[in-house]
Amino acid sequence: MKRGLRSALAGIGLAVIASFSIVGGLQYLLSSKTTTVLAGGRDNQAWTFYQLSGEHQRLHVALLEAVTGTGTPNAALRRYEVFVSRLNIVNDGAYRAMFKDQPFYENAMAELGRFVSETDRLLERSPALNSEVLTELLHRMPALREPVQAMLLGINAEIAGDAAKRWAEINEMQRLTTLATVIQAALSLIFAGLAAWYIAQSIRSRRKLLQLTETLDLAKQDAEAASRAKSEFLANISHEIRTPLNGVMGLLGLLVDSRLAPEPQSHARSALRSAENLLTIVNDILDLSKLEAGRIVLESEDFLLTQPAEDVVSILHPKAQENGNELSYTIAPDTRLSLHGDVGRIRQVLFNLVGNAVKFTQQGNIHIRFSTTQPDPDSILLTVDVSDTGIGIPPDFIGRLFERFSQADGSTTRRYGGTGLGLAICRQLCLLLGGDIGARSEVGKGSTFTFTVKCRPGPDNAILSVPEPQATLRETGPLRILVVDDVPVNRTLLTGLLARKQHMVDTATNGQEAVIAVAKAAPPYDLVLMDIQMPVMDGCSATEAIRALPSPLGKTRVIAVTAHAMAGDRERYIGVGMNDYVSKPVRPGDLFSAIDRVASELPAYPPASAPASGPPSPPPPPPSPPVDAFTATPLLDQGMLDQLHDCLDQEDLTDMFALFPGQARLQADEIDAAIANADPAAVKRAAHGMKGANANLGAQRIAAIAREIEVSAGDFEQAARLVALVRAQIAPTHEALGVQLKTEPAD
Amino acid sequence: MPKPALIESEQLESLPAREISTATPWTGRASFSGPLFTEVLAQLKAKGTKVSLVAIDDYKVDLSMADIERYQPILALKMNGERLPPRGRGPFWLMFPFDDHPELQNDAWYFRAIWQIDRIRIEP
Repeated sequence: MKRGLRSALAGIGLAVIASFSIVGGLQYLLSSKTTTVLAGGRDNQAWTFYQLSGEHQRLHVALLEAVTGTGTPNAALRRYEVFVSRLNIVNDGAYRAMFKDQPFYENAMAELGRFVSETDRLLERSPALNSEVLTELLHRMPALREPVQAMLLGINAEIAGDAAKRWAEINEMQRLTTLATVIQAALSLIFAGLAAWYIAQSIRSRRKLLQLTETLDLAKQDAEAASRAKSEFLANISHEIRTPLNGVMGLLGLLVDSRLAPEPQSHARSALRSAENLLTIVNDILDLSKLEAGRIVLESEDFLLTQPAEDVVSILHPKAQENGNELSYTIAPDTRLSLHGDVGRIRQVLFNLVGNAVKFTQQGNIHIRFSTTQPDPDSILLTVDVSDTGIGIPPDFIGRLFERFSQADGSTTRRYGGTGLGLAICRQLCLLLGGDIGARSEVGKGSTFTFTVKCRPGPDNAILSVPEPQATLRETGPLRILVVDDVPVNRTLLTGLLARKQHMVDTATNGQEAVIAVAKAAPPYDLVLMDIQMPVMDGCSATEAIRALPSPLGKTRVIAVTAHAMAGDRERYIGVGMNDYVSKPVRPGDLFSAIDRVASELPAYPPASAPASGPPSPPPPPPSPPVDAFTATPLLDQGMLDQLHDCLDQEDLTDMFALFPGQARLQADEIDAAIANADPAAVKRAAHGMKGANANLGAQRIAAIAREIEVSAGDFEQAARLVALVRAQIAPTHEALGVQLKTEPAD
Repeated sequence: MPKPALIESEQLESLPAREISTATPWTGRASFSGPLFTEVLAQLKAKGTKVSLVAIDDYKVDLSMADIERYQPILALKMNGERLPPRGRGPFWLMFPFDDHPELQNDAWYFRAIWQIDRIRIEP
C-alpha cells in the first residue's frame, strides 16, 4: 500500500508539474496574443482615415472660402496639399497591405486617386489656382463624399469585426487558462491531500513503533526482573540446600571413617561421593545465581601474579598427570607481577579453565600464559591464555560456550561430568571484573581460552603475605601430619598407617602443594612426611622453601620418605633442612620410630643404620641381567605385606590394591614416554617412582625390575624390554594381591 | 499673450544640421536631418517648461522641456537626403532617435513625432 501511495504521489506530482507547464504556455500565448491585439489595434488606422475624411471637409471649406472671398486661394492650395499628404498615408504600403481587396478601400482609393491626378493636371495648367479651377474643384468635392463615407463605414465595420474576433480569441484563452488553473488547483489539492495523508500515516506508524518499543521495553524489564527474581530464588534455595547438605556430608564422613562392615562402608562412600558432586553443582548454581542477581561483592587486595598461578597449577597438577598431561605456566616478559584486585575470583576463573583443559585433554599439554598491559597509570589489564591440546570445541558451539547449562553436546556431560555452569560463571566473573572471556578452538587439535580482568597496580615492593599463626608445636598427643607424595598408593598407605595412631593427616601431591599447605596451615603442621622425587617441585626444594617461611611455619618438622638409598643422600636431606629420613619401602616400625624421634626432638636418625630393621630389601640384581632373570624374584614381598596387614585395615588395603594396576600401567607409560623422548633422566626418574611405590605395596618383582630400569636408564633398548616385562607382571601381581586380601594372615 | 515670432525656413536651414538614423512605423529605416529642436527653441529666445507643437491640420502634441532635453529630437527637414515635401509629411517633422531609446518605441512617443508642423507655442 505504501508503494502504491508513493507512486500515486509521484503521478500526481507529475500531473501538477504538467498542468503548471500547460497553464504557463497558455499564459504566454495569451500575453503575446494580447500584445498582438494591442499592437495590431486598428484605432490608429481609423484615426488616419478620419483625418483623411476631415481633410476632405477642410479642403471643401477652403475652396468655398476661396470662391466666396473669405479665404485665399493659397490657403485652399495648402489644404489641398495636406489632403494629398493624408491620402498618400492611407494609400501607403502598410494600409494597402491591410485593406487591399476590400471594396470600400479600393473604391475610395480609386476615386480619390483619380481626383488628385485630375486636380494636379489642372494645377499644372494654372498653378495660381484661378477662380475657374476653384469652381471646378468645388464642383467635384461632393462626389468624393460618398467613397470617403463608404470608406469610413467600411473601416469601422472592419475594426468592429476585428475587435469581436480578438475578443473571442482572448475569451477562449481566458477560458483555457481558467480551466487549466482549475485543473491545477484540483491536482494541487489532491496532491496536498495525499501528502497530508502520507504524513499522517507515517506519524501514525512512528507512534505505533514508539508504543511497540515502549511495550517491548516494559516486557524486557519485566523479563529481566523475573530473571533476577529467579536468580535470587536460585541463590537462596542453593544456599538453603548447602546447609543441610553440609550436615549430610559431615555425617557421611563420620560413617565412612567408622569401622563398618565392607558393604555399608562402600555404600556410605558412594553416598559421600554423590553428596560431594551435589555440593559442587549447588555451589556452581549459587555462584551463578549470585552473579546474575548482582549479589557478588568483589574484594580487593594486593597479590602477586605467581600466587594464583602456583595455586592452580599445584592443585591441578596431579589430575593433569593422571591424564598424562604436561601442565605449565609462563609469565610474559614485562608483566607486572604485583597487582591489586580480586585474586580469589581470578583464581576461580583460572581454576575453572585449567580444570576444563585438564579434563578434556589426554596425553597432551596444557599451558597457561600470563601477561599484562597498562592502558593508564591506574589500571592494569591482566590477560590469561589457557591453551590445551585436547579434544577441541566444534565451531558452531563456540558461540554458546559461555551460556548457562551448555556443553558441546549431551554426551560431554555423560563422559566428563560437570554442570555446564563453569564457563557461564567465568564469563560473569570476568565481566564483573571489567574484562571478558573468549575462546578459539580446533576440533581434535585443542582450545585456547583467553580471559582478561582489570586490576590496579599493586605496591612496587610486594612480598607474598603469609599468615602468622599463633599455634605452637605440640609435643604430645595426636599430631597434625602432612603427607606429601605424588603416588596415590603411597599417600593411602601412609595415611592409613598414621590414622592408626590417631594422627590427623592431610595430603599434598607435590612439593609445591606442600609448601602452600604448610604456609597456610593454622595451626601449623607438627610434621611433614616428604617424598623426594616429585613433579613440579621435589622434596628438597620444598623443604628449603618451608625453611624460608617465617617462624613458626619455617620450623615445621620434615621427614624425608624416599627410595633413594644412595650414599650421601642422608647428608643432602639434612643439608636442605630435613629433620629425619625414612626409606621406602616404608616399614611401619621405622616410620613410627622416626616420628617419635622427631616429635620428641631427639637427635636425628643415625645415618649408618638406614635400612636397619624389617625384611631385607630386594637383593641388588647383577649388572644387565637377562629379562627372564626376574622370574627368580617372587611376585610379592610377603614380609612387607604382613606388615601392611598389621598396620592397615581391610578397607585401606582394598583401596591400595585397587589403585595398583592403574598406577603401575601409568608408571610404565611414563617410562615408555621417556624412552620415546630419549630422555635417560626422565627414564631414571620414572623408574625410581615405580620402584618406591611398588616396594611399598610389597610388589617385589615389579620393584626389582623398576630398580633395574633405573640403573640401566641410558640403555633404552634394555629399558623398553624391562618395561614390557613390568607390564607382563601387572596382572599376576594384582591377582596375587587379591589373594592376599582374601587370605588374611591368621593373627 | 506675447507676440508670436516668425521663423523662416532659411533660418532653420542655416542652423547646424544633425542627423538621426532610425526606424519609424511610417518609413521603415531612414535617415533624417535637421537642426536640434533645442537649437530652434534657442533661436526663438523663449523660456518655458512645456512646448506645444501644432500641425497644419491642427494636430497638436505637448512636450515637456525635460523630455526635449533628454531625447534631443530634431526638426527634420530632409529624409534620406531629400527635402521633405508637404505631401510627404513635410516640410518640418519632429523626429526622435527612436532606435537609441527603446522606451520611445511605442505609440505614445510615435504620436509625438508630429509632422507638417506650422506653429510652436512655448508655455511657462
